[in-house]
Amino acid sequence: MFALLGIAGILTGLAGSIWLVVTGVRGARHGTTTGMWRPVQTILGGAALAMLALEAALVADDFSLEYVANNHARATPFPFNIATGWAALEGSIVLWGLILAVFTWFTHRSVVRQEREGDRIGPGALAVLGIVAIFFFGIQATVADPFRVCTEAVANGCVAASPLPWAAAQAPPDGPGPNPLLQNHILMAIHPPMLYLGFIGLTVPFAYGISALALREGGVEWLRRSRRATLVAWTFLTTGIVLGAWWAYEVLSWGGYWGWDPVENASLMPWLVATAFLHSALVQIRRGALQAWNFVLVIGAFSLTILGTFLTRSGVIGSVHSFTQSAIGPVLLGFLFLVVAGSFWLFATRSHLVADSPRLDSLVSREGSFLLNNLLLTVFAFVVLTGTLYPLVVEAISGDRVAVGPPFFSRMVVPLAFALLLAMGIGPHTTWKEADPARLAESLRLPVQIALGAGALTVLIATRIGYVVAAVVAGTFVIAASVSLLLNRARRSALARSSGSPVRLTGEIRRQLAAEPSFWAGQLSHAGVALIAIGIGFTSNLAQHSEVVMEPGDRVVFAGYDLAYRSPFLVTETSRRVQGATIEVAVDGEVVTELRPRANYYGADTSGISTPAIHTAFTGDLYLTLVRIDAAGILLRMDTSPGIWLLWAGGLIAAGGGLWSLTARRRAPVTAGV
Amino acid sequence: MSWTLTAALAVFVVAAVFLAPDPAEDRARALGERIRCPVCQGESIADSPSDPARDMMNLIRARVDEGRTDQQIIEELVGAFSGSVLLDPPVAGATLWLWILPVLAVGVGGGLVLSRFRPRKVPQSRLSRPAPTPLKRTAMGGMVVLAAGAIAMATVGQFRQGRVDNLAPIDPANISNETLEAVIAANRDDPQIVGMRLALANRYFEDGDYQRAFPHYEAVIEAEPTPIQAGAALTRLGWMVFDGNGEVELAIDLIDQALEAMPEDPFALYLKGRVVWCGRDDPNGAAVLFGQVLAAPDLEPDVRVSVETDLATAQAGSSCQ
Repeated sequence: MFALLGIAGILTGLAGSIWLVVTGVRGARHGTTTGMWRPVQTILGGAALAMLALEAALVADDFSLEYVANNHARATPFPFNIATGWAALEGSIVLWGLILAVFTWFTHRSVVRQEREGDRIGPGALAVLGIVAIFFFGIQATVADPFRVCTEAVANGCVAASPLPWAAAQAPPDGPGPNPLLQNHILMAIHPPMLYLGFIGLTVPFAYGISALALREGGVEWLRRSRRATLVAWTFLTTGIVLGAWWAYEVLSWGGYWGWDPVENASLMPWLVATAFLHSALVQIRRGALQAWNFVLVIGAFSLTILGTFLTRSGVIGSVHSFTQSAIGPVLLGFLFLVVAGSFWLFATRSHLVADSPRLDSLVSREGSFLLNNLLLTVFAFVVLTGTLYPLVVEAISGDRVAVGPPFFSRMVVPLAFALLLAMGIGPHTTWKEADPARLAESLRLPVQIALGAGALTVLIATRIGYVVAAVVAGTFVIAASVSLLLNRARRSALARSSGSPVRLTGEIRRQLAAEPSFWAGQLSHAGVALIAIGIGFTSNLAQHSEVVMEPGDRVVFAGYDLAYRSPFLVTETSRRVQGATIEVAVDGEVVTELRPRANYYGADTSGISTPAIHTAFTGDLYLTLVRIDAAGILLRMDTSPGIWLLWAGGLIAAGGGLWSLTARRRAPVTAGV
Repeated sequence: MSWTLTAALAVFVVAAVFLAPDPAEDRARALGERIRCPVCQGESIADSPSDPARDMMNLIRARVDEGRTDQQIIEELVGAFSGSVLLDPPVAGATLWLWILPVLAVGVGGGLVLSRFRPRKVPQSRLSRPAPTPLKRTAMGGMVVLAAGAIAMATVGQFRQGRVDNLAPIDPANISNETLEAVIAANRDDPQIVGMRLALANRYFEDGDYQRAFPHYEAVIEAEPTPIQAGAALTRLGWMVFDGNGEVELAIDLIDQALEAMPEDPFALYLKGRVVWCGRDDPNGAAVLFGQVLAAPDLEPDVRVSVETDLATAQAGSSCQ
């Protein structure tokens, strides 16, 4: 029954998508926004039905579905049984379809609410969303069908299946359950949907861009809408990436949070390009320049999300030659090719729209700093892209295996990151058109002094390692630059009102923030990124690592902590067995906590998922991992992660900036419109 | 506060950093971070808690204690595990372009950014001066790109390591059989694993563990080996079918195949001689082959002595020992 419902949902979504393309194209021709409400509802209804059917099958333990039989187990607890709905390839495409439908719904709503006479870009964008939706519902109906009925079951899964929902079903008694790593931490239920919201959200700016190109409507109308849609996606993507790093840190037990793994890179590349677009769009809105470049960025960001999906879902990372093993690989690659080739063909045939953008006056200006920022961010994305694809290209050409790992990325990216931090500090202090270098230097003097002061403090009380001091100086500079800008403006406007009392100053600050919320929201995001940079500086350079063999009762001193191995423990929970060691942690003779690093065994799995135990303090984390445990004792790995909380805090602050900007903007038209 | 104070602060911070004593760095860990754990998904051996990674870290620690240089240690690991374990690809060979492309991107992108700006307004008094010709501007742009490239290459050059690819596979004598098995199992499809497989099989062969050696030699032959690798595998397969199963003709056939790939290989000739002597009971045939072995110029002295002994016995017509 679930199969029937699910397939009905997919086909409904597919039909709605085709319908939306038809009505969208008609609307774009005649400049009308009517007639698209029904198809949009149909898409959303179909996508929701498919997702619900899959989730219901999981909750109801319906092992007659191949997807359930191979990815679920009766013992999988809530909420991981729900998360299993997108843990494997087919389910993840269903979630993709649903989120795309939700974005389409919101896009339609915003198009209708604009109430622009003769709006052609809006309906055109909906038609583009319809085309993308056809692709994703199309693969659900064919190569990534999640509702295949199991026709040949074995004890712990399904070996043959049929796409026909009425096929004679054979259900195994139980399934293997999701990948143990995916049910080891609650973050795994939150992080992938966030990332998907970010990834799929980038379809909307792409749709506006393609619509504008196809309809030959240059100008800034598409750009305003694209920028807002990008901000939505960017906020989700930022949250998703930070939660992903956090998850890796909490679960993967290697003490790190970012390994330049292709999967991580796939999420970072669109983020970098979207960040570049958020800035370069402002240059076009204010100065009319960079029109062509903005099209390149929205097309690039969307293409990178498809590339990322291809890289992570086709098996191509394991080996170039394995990607044809699943049908989804070639299909995604074909779609990527269509997107890139089609977009740039449109772009080339409409180049007259964007050819004569005005030249800019001076490099020392707001637009100059935005251009520098765009250069750095796109080179950053290019470095990540090169490093990710290079092994695949080498293997495809010569058959040789090469690895490109963290040392390469750090060497390339660290200089770029420092340059970006400098630009983030200086940029907001510049004026549009042409900044006066002397005034710029004057307004930056205090931030520079504060930054150097922070550097001196670091040298005196913490460390003299160059990278750490540089990260502190650069990060503090960014934050101090934003704060001093706010104070300067508030003070100036307070003076203009011929009064300088402190009470008025806080009120003045509030007025400044309310007057330009999106600018200050951007500054908040800058501060978040600066905190991340400082955090990375600390953890990458000051972390300590060691390991020790211990028997119950043994003690060891590590990085200022007294660790005592009390006893081993063994617990059986519904879905797993947990074996671990209780370690008492003391500082200066006072017990601060008890840590329980452990290995979790899911189902029949005997290798165990090592799960770290973490003690968080202001200066940093103590991170304990069990390498081995047996009757004789334990092999304990001990790491410190100084200042790592700065990363999580910074990431959430950066995402918070996006949220602030979005919510502040929404209020404005309401008052203006009524 | 004035700029003087700012400058003083800057000097203090920079001096403090540059005059800092060298931190007691963990060389083994730094090296480990540059080596991919061959049985994991994209982790370095410094990070991975898996047994092979720990084995390799222990090897690095031992080498560091012996006083070997970073270069020597990396070369040994690459020799044992193939170049695909380098997370830090060399600025040479197949990964040269990896380092050049981003530098080019900076140059091209920088040029594009500069081209977006109007040339500075020329003051009235200097209007008579000719504006830069397109040729001149192109040349200047080119110089900027070149300069940026040179600076970036110099930075990269600091990290340049010598060529480490194309080393002959050596027997990773300090790495346990279990680790090698795990690494081979995890990299089954990697063509570069053949050398390691052969080394491991040879190790089993020398220990007389034919059971374990056999499948590895078979896999070597199936995996498109070089003629030398194929010859080495065929020779030993031949010896094993004779020594283990008493298959005389099959053994000679296999060793003959090996000799086609590497004619005059003394080890193959010697083993063939032993099979002919002991299997076919043909001391004269064996003596001819032993003679060919001794014709090889670079035989180890003790090997030469033992082959000479065998030759003398066979020439006397005695049956094999």
